[in-house]
Amino acid sequence: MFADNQKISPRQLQCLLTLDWIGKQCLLLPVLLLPLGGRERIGALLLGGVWTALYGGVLGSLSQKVQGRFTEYARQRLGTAAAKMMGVFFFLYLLLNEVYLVRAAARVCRVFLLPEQGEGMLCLLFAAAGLAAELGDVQKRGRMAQFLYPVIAVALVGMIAASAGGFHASYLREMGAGSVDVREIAAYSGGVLAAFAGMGVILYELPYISEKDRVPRVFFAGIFRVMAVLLALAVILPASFGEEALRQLAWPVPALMSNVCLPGDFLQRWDVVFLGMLLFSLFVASSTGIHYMNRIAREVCSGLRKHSAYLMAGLTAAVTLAFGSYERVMNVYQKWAFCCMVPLMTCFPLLLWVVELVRQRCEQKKGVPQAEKGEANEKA
Amino acid sequence: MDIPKAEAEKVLRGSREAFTEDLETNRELITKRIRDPKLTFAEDELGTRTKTRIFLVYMEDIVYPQMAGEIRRNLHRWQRDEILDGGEAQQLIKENPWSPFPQSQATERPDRVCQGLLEGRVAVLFDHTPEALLLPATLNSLFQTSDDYYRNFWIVSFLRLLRLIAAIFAAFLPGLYVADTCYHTQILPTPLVLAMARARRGVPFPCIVEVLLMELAFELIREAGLRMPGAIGNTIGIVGGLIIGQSAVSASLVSPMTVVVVALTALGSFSVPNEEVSEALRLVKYLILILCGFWGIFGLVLGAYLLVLHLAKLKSLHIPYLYPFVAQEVNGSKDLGDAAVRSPFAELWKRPVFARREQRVRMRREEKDVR
Repeated sequence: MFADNQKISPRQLQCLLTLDWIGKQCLLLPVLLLPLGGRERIGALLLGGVWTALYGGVLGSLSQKVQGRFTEYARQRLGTAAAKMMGVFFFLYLLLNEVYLVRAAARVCRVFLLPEQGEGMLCLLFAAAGLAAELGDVQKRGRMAQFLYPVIAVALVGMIAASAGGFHASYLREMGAGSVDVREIAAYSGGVLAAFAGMGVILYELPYISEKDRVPRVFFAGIFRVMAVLLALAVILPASFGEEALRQLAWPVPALMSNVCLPGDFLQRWDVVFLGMLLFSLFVASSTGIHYMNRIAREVCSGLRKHSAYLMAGLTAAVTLAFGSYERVMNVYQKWAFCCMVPLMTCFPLLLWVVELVRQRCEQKKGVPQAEKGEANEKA
Repeated sequence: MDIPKAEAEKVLRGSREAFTEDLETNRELITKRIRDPKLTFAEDELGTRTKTRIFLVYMEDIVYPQMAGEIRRNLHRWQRDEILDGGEAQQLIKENPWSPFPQSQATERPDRVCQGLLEGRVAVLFDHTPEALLLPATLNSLFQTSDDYYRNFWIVSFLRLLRLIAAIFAAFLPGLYVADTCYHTQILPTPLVLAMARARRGVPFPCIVEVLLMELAFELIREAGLRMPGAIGNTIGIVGGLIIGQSAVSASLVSPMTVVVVALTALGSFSVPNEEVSEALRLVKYLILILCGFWGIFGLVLGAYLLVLHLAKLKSLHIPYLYPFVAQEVNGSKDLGDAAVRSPFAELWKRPVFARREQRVRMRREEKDVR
């Protein structure tokens, strides 16, 4: 009969990853890369995409080695203290990421949809939406993502394609004219990697994924799809607004959507439709953050069991409200999450990967003479 | 045998027969359609006092052996005095009893039951109940009708998409109208917005109250029409709808646009083939309406997200309720050919996921003799 195994399929994982990334990155990366010129922006995205794919490859390779729970595996390889420390870094990154996400989503909603609504209330609603997905088994989130993915992906990509109609040839020429600073590209490509660095938490989810051998492919497919959308936006945004006007925009992508005009004048503001679809993606992202925070908290603190999801949602809401405005949250997010947490967080999986490589080499070296001995014995 | 005509599940093509209240007659209605020795009727009793006779019906070689056993266990999990109707048992075997959505499919049509049996599902027949329960049930199966397989696949695909749109109307249209009127007037083209504003001039209530009042009035008409004897019931429906709608607009209690929205919502809910799904959507509509009253489009998306989460949580005998829109890969994605749209009949050679793995092929093409 149907497998009721409390595991999600690789396809569901891919839908979850893509939905989690696409909404957040559509809001974050265009803003993060605004100081760069048009070609530099594309270069930073491409180079950042390469870093991200490499990091995804490391995680994918590591996922094949992990048997059982990741914390246990890390404890065996690096020791208890390092395993706990890694969990704490991941948790803090996730918390900061979730706080940024909730605050940014609330701000976008207030600016474009509900100008009279307080941001605090919207933050609470986002945290509650994240919590709602976490109440239940892990399969529920996977199925929800698989059901929503085709609808949201088609709508978002369709809207972005429709927004390309506002191209100005002069802006495109302007985009191609500026100089390119390679050092800037290299620096900002790190930011792109940092925006995707949260994917390392998948390692904690491995016991709940069926067909683990397909995890590396899932990483690459997810990164490729989201990067394709971001690259399309990196071309469309300056070509539609011009570099000068683009730098004045607080939320370039929703602003781009307000320019969409489809034949027939059926709707006057398509950005509301786009934001509706984006909201689905942000709800999924919020639920993902709370889910992984909960998972890691349970792994690190064995005492946490029942109702810990409520605690995580409450913590997210409390920290978001305590930080105050979006600008402050963005500042803290860039300083702490990008500059402190990401290097610390990424170095552990890399270290584990190196340890695993060294172990493999050592085993191969030991294995060869033994095999030779075995063959000699057989001959004898 | 005096076999009644199907009333609740009318079709354009196919048999007009419906189940009766007599268990043996219902058994004959199935056996005359499936003349296979593998067709099994397992008899049982429910209700410690009523001792209501039931039949668990399945194709012995197609159904998963543990499925019939699990249904039997679920039926006997509760020792209750009386099981007077299949509806009582249906509620007792719900895996998520708090959900408004049905987790088994009640049908009055013997041909629908036979289709289900040959897909590897289990039917439960109850004495004194002119309906059978089909298990497992998915949201997709609840949107299908028996004549979906008797007609051209193009028109069936169109009708299935229409039913999905109708379901979306039934749940979301009043909320969308309130969100648009109260929060996002700039979405629609200016002439339409102006026409709506003109129509609402003089209405004393906020939009959400206006829609709620109209929806409640419609619910009253529907309930009154249902409880009245046949001909009077129909008259009440038409007269009540016309008079109340017209009078409310004339008295400036509601705007004509609200009447249109409520009527479209009602049409949407009537177009959903399964009555229980339609009822669940009626309830969901009020939740969405309230969320939209508070937060406009944000409330609409939040409501849709919560609805999808709820549906993603539901299962019927371990089969996800949203199958084959989720986890379709377990049967090679073939079940998507019989979902929102239907493939040509010759392409439906594989049984759905309900059937045993080794019994999934139900149609083979005979090689032509070239000579």
